[in-house]
Amino acid sequence: MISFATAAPVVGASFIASTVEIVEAFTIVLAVSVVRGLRPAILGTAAALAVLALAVAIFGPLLASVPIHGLQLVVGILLLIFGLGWLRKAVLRAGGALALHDETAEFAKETALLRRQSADEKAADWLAGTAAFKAVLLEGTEVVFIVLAVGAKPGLLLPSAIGAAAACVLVLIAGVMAHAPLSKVPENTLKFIVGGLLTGFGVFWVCEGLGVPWPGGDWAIPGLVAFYMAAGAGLSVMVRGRRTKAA
Amino acid sequence: MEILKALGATITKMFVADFWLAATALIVVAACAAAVHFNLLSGAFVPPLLGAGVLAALVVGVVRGWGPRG
Repeated sequence: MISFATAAPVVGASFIASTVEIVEAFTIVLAVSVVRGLRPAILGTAAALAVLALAVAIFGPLLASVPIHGLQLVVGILLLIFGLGWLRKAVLRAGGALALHDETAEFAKETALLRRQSADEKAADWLAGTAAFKAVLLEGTEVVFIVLAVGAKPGLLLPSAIGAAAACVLVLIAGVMAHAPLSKVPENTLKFIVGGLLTGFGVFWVCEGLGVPWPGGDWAIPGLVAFYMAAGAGLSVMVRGRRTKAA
Repeated sequence: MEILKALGATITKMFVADFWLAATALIVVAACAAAVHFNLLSGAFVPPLLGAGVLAALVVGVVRGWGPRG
């Protein structure tokens, strides 16, 4: 039986991380549908989702055959590195040391690029479909990694997949309703939270993989997540303070 | 081919967007693994050591990034 302390951060991490990635993919798919129509957007997206589903079908069962301690160690290290990268970037963005990601600017850039390619109708449709395919495949790769990684412990793949599926549905509904880039999504805040979640999971699973359990078992996960998020918040205040002094 | 290259770049960027951050985290994990493997530390000290090492890696990564080069 999976405890709430384990399942809740898994669903949360998968949902929030997937939201960030799907919003980015949605911006490109929307640009394709605005410039070239729904057909290349849907075909490109469907083809990428088929490739991702194939990857999950291949790698999912393979993961189940790996010994649990070895798997937790490898996945823990990957989650740790991935989560730390997101947390660091979110801290630097929150502190003003890095520019925030701008979905509206990304949409304008992609739309302009697709319009420049519109001279030959057939080639333009192909290029637009390829752009949608590439965006969904690349952002989806990160979603697949997160879903498989945070769901790597027996019984956690389903909660992890539910989190990602809920994010898909939410972004799709919000995107269809807005019919515009979802620039109001607080992407950096979400990245900050996911960075904390994945770093916490990574630290927990590396220890489990080494055969050294955390005191408190699964309840250590929320504590670790809170610890790294608090550290990140403190660091972003430090970065902002340093930049204010320098200005 | 271009898509495969982009996919490779995406996967690389996922883990080594900042090489030194990834390297520091790996060194911390390797140190903890060595401590467990060679019985250098009691098992009870390994989780806090890993937690503190990862925090140090984050702090160093942020300090390296807050300069003019970002």
